[in-house]
Amino acid sequence: MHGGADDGAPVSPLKWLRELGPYVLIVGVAIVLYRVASQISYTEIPGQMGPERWPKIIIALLICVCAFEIVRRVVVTLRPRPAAEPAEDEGFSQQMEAHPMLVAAATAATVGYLLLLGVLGFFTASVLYLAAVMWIGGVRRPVFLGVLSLTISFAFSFFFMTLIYVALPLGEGPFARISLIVMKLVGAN
Amino acid sequence: MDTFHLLIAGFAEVFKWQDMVALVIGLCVGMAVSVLPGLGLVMGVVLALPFTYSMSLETSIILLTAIYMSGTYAGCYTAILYKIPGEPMDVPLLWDGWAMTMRGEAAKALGWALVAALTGGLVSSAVMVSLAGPLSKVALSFGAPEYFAAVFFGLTTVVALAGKSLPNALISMCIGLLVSTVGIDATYGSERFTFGSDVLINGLPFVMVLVGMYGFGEILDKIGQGSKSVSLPGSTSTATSLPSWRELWGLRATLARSTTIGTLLGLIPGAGATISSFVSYGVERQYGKRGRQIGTGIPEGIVAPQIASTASVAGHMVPLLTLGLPGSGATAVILAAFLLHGVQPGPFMLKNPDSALTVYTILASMFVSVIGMCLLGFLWIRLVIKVLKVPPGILIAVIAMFALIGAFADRNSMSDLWVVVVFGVLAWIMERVKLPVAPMVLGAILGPIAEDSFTRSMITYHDDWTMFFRSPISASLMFLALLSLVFPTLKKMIFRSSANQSSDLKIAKAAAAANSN
Repeated sequence: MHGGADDGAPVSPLKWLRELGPYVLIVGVAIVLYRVASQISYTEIPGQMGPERWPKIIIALLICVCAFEIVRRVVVTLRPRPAAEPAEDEGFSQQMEAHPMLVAAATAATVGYLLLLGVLGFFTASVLYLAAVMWIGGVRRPVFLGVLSLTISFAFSFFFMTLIYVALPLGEGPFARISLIVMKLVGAN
Repeated sequence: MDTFHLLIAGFAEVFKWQDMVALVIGLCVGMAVSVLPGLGLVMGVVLALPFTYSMSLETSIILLTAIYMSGTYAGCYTAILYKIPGEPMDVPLLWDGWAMTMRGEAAKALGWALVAALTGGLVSSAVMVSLAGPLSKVALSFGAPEYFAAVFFGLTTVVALAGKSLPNALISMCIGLLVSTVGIDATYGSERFTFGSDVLINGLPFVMVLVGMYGFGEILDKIGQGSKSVSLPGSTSTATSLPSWRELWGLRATLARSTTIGTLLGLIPGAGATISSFVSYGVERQYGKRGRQIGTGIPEGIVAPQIASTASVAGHMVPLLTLGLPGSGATAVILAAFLLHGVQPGPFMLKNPDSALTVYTILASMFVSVIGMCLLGFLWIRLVIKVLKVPPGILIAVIAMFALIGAFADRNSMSDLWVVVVFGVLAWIMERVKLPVAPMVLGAILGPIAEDSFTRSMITYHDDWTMFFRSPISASLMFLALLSLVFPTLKKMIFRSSANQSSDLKIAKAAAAANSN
């Protein structure tokens, strides 16, 4: 990771990006937030700190720490290092998961669930969401998946609607009718 | 009322049916999450948090404390029987526990773990109960600068212990502190970082931030690891055989040492059950009578880490109750539960008779939790372990639903669910780029408290920064805070210099050997 300079070869742009990119990004966002904080409007009281002081202190600290780390990383990356010395990996290193696509799929399924919750209602949306997440999680038997999703959704409906009286979304049109039937079945009013 | 009478009244409260039901549910949930590798006890506490909204304060804190307490114990079963550490704190247990299992002494190993958890939990709870009064008396003398110094110390210690990289932990903490500034400022009523959004005007709900970062983020992490079912050997017995009095007397030094380590480390913010467990194991290895045999399957290797991890719970709970300072992820969530009920824990709680009873009810519940978890472990662990056989895909889906609908149930707000998802994804990204999540969560929770005490100090002392270093208490706390920030770097430097010395020594020896040849 820090072996760029040991053989005299120039450090690749990709490596620089991986080493410094996240810190530079944080500094960029922090500068924008500092400017936003400077524009916070309030009635000034002489001799008294305003509401922008605290966030500004935190942002300044954030920028200082990032700057320190950027300089440290530049120095460490450019420093000639004996080949035997083990690489230090204390900071950012993009450590990808074994299955990053599964994470993306699960996130997409969750976003879809939230978007559809109001239209499909809690029960129908949950059946679909549970099936999707279980599929992503490696359960690949469709009939078992369907039965399990229905059962778990019923259990959740019973727990949340009947036992702890949460008003879960009913959905629209035909889906609302399904939700009402489920409510009747689980004994919720 | 004195401490003893308050504690008795606390026990009477705990044995009310609502509190007992919450306690038993908490113990079962804590056991279930702690036997599952990757699903930590903090996640269990977080998942239960939204459900506490409709409960009384005592019942909700009892539920969460029971999850926390039993979460430090049940992992010993899978570590000892199957070599599967449910939590990082259980890792030292498997070195000796698994070795004993391989020798056919699994029941004995489980018996030692049970006795250790019982001893550690009860003794440290008793010590902490006796310390609660004096600690809160000291805390009552705190003004705004002292309080800010205490919060600052808590934040820096957690940051320093959070991960391998101090700058990354500081960055994470700053992000958390910034998250807490979103919304309307309490002193001036000005909008901060709302960007014109109605959702952000009331600030980011910290419960949702917690559920997102610890709950949903963890779910994404598990999904990213792929689905690997755990295959359990069918024939392993979960029977527990308790050690005799004579055997216990033989380990009295280990019991005393490890309880002290767990309790003391529990008092230090950031030094959670995992650190206590490893430190205690290391100390036993170094100073124990049979230290050299540790790792080969002797009871000391089980007793030391188990006792310390359970003892650390009480150590963490008392600073939370008396100073309002959480020292670990789980206590940060418990603090969130207090705030959810509109209560700020701290020294004033012991001044008011009603809230003093609440504090002692929670403290009494720790004793009942310790005994309850040992009984449940003894009787029902076979059922709890079955949860390991559930395919991870199903478990993840159910937990995701719990996290989402639990978050929705809190305020019936769809925007809360979006906060959960956004912060869940953020936590996942942060983990990938090695930004520890814990400092951010603590920053988000402690941020308002830190800002409030900082603002009050600055207003009272007319913008004079030196007041944080003038009173002996705040100066000591600030000094400790700075020390805790410098400590990891110092430790690394000492480690490097000793490594260099030993390599120099090796080179010198090699050279001497070459010369003699």
